[in-house]
Amino acid sequence: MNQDTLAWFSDTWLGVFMRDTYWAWPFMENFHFFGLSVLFGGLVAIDLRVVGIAPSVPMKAALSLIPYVMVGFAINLITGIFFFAGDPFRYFYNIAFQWKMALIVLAGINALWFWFGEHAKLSKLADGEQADFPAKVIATLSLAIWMGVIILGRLIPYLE
Amino acid sequence: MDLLLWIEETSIGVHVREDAWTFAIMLCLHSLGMAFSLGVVMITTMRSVGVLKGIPVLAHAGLFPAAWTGFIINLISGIALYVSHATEYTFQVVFILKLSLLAIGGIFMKLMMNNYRANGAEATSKLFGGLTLACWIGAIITGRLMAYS
Repeated sequence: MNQDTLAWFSDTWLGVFMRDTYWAWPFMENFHFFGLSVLFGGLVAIDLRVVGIAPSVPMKAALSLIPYVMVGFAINLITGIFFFAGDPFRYFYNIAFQWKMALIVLAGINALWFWFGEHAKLSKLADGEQADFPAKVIATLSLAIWMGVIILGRLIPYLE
Repeated sequence: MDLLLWIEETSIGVHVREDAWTFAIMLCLHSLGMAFSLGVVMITTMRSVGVLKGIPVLAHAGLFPAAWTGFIINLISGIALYVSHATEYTFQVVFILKLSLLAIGGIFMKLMMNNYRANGAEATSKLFGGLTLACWIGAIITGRLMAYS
């Protein structure tokens, strides 16, 4: 992304709104935290069930949380775009932000692996039955990567 | 005030306040703890009020150890953060509101689970679920606003 693109981002109404409206930043941050809670809450349910830490959670019901995890992610993608537009030159060159984005891509790939490799098998699992080893690896990775995303997000103001 | 000043000047208070990395690490732990505790509370209470489908309310109990772990991480990191700025936070309206909402929300959560066990998904159970959800959303908002007051 070159300087012109970043400047263009900054000049969109999103960027102007973020900078010129005094309540915009905390308002979007609150939604970002809300989205995070829904996204991560759903993942905790699915991943802890798959890993085997929460065997009492019914697997099919846990998997039905996936759309809500996506909604949480969508909320954070949208609010995240607002933050980025509000201060693109700061975010783009921020090392914590760069690693955070890289981890989100990794989480996406991991989610695709889960969806195409494990979802059908897991849907047929009886209550209390253990998931297979690859599924447990994916679930562990999912929690670890998203924890990394949260840490890096929180570190953005401290790593510049 | 003397007591608060003394708290701030304890070695923990000085260290968390003056070492930039310690403060940042406490904030990271606080975010992680929030993700676990609030995440579980959120999906449980949203299920209760019907905003989302998913796991039956009582089956969320299997996730409560994870939520409690997050809560304890936040209690510890929260105390460290508080101690470092005791004279400031103690008088912040949003901080007092945040703690109150967390406490009230915790009580409602307990009442919700008790009522689900005793009476199932009746109106009172859902009401307690909705009140818990409202309190904890309020706690996120007031917690975030501490940075702005």
